[in-house]
Amino acid sequence: MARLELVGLNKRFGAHTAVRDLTLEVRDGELMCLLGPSGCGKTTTLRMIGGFETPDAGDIRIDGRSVTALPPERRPTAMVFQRYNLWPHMTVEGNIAFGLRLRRRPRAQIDAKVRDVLALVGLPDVGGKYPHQLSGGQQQRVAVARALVLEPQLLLLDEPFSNLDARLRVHMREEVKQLQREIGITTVFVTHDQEEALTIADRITVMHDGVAEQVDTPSSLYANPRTLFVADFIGTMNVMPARVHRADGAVAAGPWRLPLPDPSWPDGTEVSLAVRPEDLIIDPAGAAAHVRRVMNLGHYLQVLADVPGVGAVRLFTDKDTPPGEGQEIGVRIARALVFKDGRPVEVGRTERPAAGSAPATIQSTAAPAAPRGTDLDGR
Amino acid sequence: MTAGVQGPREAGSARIRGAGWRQGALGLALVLPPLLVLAFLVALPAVTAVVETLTPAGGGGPTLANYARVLAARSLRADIVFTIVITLVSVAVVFALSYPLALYLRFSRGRAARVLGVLFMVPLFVPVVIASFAMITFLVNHGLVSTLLYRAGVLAFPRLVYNGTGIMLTQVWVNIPFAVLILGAGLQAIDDALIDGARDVGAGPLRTFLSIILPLNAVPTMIALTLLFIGVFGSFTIPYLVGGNAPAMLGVTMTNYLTQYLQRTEAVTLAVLAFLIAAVVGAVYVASVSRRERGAA
Amino acid sequence: MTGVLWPWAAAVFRRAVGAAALLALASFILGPLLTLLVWAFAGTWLFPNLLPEFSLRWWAFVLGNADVGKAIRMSLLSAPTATLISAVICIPAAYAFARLEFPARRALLLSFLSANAFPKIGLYVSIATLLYRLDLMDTFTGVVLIQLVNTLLFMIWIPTGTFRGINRNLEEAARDAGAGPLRTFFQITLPIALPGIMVAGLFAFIAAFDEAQGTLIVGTPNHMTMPVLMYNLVLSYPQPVGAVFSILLSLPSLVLLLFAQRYLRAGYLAAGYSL
Repeated sequence: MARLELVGLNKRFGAHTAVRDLTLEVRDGELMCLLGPSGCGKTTTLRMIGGFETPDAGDIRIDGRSVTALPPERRPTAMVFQRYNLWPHMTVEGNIAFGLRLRRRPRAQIDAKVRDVLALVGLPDVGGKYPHQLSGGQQQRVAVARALVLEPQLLLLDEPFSNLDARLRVHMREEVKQLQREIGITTVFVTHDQEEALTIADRITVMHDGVAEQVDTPSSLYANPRTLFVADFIGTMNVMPARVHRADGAVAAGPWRLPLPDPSWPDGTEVSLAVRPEDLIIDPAGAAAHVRRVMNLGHYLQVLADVPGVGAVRLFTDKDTPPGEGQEIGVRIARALVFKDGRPVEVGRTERPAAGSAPATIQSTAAPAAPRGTDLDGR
Repeated sequence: MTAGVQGPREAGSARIRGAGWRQGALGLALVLPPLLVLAFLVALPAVTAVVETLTPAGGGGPTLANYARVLAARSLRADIVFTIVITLVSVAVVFALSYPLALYLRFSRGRAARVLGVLFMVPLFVPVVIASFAMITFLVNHGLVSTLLYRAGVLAFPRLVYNGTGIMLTQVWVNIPFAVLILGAGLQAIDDALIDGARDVGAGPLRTFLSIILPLNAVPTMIALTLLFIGVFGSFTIPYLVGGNAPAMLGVTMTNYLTQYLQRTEAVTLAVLAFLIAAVVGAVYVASVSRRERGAA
Repeated sequence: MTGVLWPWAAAVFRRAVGAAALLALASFILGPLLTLLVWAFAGTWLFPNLLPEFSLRWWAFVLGNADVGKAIRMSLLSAPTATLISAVICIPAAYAFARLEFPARRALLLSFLSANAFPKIGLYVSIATLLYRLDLMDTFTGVVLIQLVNTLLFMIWIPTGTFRGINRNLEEAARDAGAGPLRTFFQITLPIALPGIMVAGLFAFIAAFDEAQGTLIVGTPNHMTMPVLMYNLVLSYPQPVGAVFSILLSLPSLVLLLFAQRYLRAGYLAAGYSL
C-alpha cells in the first residue's frame, strides 16, 4: 500500500501534447479516478505510472521513491487493461500463477494463492478453464485477480468495464470498489464515464486536453466545480451566457437578474452562468418559460423548457405537480455559479426540497478560487 | 509538495533520453542477419550483374552497348513482347477467375462455399514443377481432356500445350490461390454494414460491387495485380516445361543464353531488362501500399 | 402466372449456373492432379482409353534408381536445414519489424520483396560466380544458401503480420507481472504467434524444397535435389516416370500440410502480405 506522486509529468506524441505538466498526489489506500473525455491524457498518464510510456519530463514517485527509471517488470504496480488482458494460450490458473512462478514461489504456495484470489473475485471454479471459455465480465475479474495476486503497491485500471454491457458494468465497478476497500490498496482508475467516477472514487481528477482541471471529492466536484469545463462535464448543467449590468447591480441572463457578486466588475462584461437542474425552481413569480417536454425519470421529472433569451434549459422537479407539455411556467434560479475569466463565484443557495419551508433569500458568496493543477484537500 | 529531487529525476530523464535510441539500435540489430543474407546473396549479385552488363568486353567506360545489342536482335525483341503479352493475359484471366471466387467465398455460407474454400488452396501446395507436368498430361493432345472430349464425340482438339496457351493456363492454375487470398483478405476487411447500407438504399449487386466493393478493395487489388505480374513475368519453370521453342518467355531465354549458347553477358543483360520492367510495376505496388500504410497509421 | 414463376425460375437458373461454374473450377483445379495420380500407376496408357492398364513397374524403376535415392536424401537434408536457419534469423527480425521503431523500417521490409522481383536466373548467374570464388559450388552449404534465399520472403512477411496482430496489452501484461522483454517474447508472444509461424514455416519449406533453378546451377553434379532431378526425368523418360516422381516430390509437403492443417487459416497468409 503506497502513496503515489506525479511531479510535472509531460508527454508528447509527435506534435500533439498528451499530458501537460501534471502534478498529482494519490494517498495511501485511496481510489483516485482519472476522469475526462477521450484524448484528455488520462490513459497516457496511467500508462506512464505503469511504465508502458516514458514521460518526456517529470517524475513518478511511489512512497517517495522515484520509479521513472524502472521498466514495468520492476515497478510495484499492477495494471488491468480495457481488453486483451488474459493470455489465450494459458488456463486461468496459468494466467494468475505466471507472475508467482516467475518469482520462484513454492508450488503449494502458488496453488493456495491462486485459489484464494479466485475466491476473492467470486470465481472459485474457473481455474482450469481457458479465457475464451469465460464471459467478458469473468475475464475482467480474472484480470483483476491476476493483478492482485502479486500484492502490488498500486493497482491501475484502464477503463476495465467499458466493454461490458451496462448492468454488468455497474455491478463490476461496485465489486471493485468493495474489494478495494477491503484490501485497502491504493488504486488509480481511468474512466470517461462521470457517473462511474462519481460512484466509486474517493477523489477524482478531472482532466481536459492533457491538464488536470480539478482534483476533488465527488461531492465537491458536483457542488463546487472550479472551471466551466468541470461544471459542464460533471452531472447535468445548464450553461448560459450572461452579462454584467452595473446600473442594476445585477448579472443578467435572459429574463433573470441575479445580484452582482463583485461590484468592481465592469459594465457589460460577458460571463457564463452555470445552474444545476435542481436549482431551477418552478415558481409562478419566476421568469416565463415554455415547457417543451416532460420526462419521467423514475422518482423525479426532468423538464425541458424554452426560456426567451437563453434557449433550452433542463430542470428537475418532483412528481407532485407536473407541468404539462406546451404549458407556460415560471422559473427562478435558486443557486448559480457565475464564471468570470474562468473563475466561479457562487450566487444563491441550493434549496432542499422540503414541504412548507420558505426559500432562503439569495445571497452572494465567493467560493475559494484555486489555480489549476495543484492537488487540493477536498475533504 | 516535495521539492524536486535531482538524483532520481535525472535518472528518469536519462532513461527517457536513452529509450528511443536503444529501441532503434535493437531493431536494426535484430533485422541485420536476414538483411545480410539478402545483401550478400541478392543485392550483391544483382549489382554485380548490372555492373557487368554496363561494362564493355574490352574494357573502358560504362556503356549501354549490351542493351543495344540485345534490343536489336529480332528474336529477343519478340521474346520480350511475348513475355509481356503472356503475362498480361495470364494476370487478366487469373483476376477474372479469382475475383468472383473471392466474392463467392466472402458472401456465401453453406457446404459448397466451405468445400471451395479448401479446394482453391490446393495449387498452393503443389510444387511448380509438378504443376507444370500435371497440366501437360491433362491438356496435351491424347491427354485427359482430349480423351474425354473424343469420347464425347468432339474430334477436333486445339493445341493447348507447348505454346503460349499452355503457359497461360498453367500460370492461371498456379496463381489462383494467391490471388484469391489477397483479394479475399481485402474483402474481409469490408464490413458487412457497408454492403447492407448500399443494398438498403436500393443498389443491386452489380452496382454495389462497382460503387462500394471495388473501390474499397482497391489497394489489395493493386497488390495482387502487381505481385502477380512480377511473378509471371520472371517465371522459368512453367514456360520451360509447358512452353514452345519460340517465342519463349524471358526466363527461358535467359537460361538458354547461359547454359546452351554460353553467352553469359546476354543472359545477364536480359535479366536486368526483365528486372527493370518488373521494377516499374513494383513501384506501383510500393506506391499503393505506402498509401495504405499511411492511411492505417 | 409468369409473375410468380419468373423469380423462382431465375433463382433456379442462377443456382444452376453457379453450380456449373463451381464444377468447372473444381475440375480445372483437381483434374491435372488426378491425371498425374492415374499416370503414376499406369503401365501403358493408350489413347483413347479412359483408363490405362495399371502397373507398378515404374515405381520399381524410379525407386531403384541410385540418383533418385541420392536426390531424395539431399532434398530431405537441405530443405529442413534451410528452413530452420531461416526461422532462427528471420523470426527475431520479424518481431523487430512488427514492434520496434527504427530508421528505414518500411524500406527494409520492402527490400525482402525485391529478392523475388529480380529474375532468379539473373541472380543465380552472379551467385554462382560468388560461390565459385568462395569454393562453395557443388557443396551442401551452397545448396542450402540458395534455398535459404527463397525462404526469406515467407519467413519475414508472414511472421511480421502475425506479430502485428497480437495485441500489445498481452505483452504489456506480462511485463507488468514481472517478466522481462526476453521472457515475455518466449513465454507469451511466441506461443500466441505459433500458428502464423507454422504457416510461414510450411511455405518456407515448400519454397526451399521446390527450388530448382539455382540448385541446378550450384548442386550439379553431386548435390542434386529432387526438383532438379525432375527436370531431367520429365524430359528424358516416359510420362509415368515423371508422374511417380511427382508423387514422391509432393509427399513431404503433404505430410507437413496434414500436420499443420489446423493452423492453416487464410487470415494468416493474407496478413503476411500486408505491409
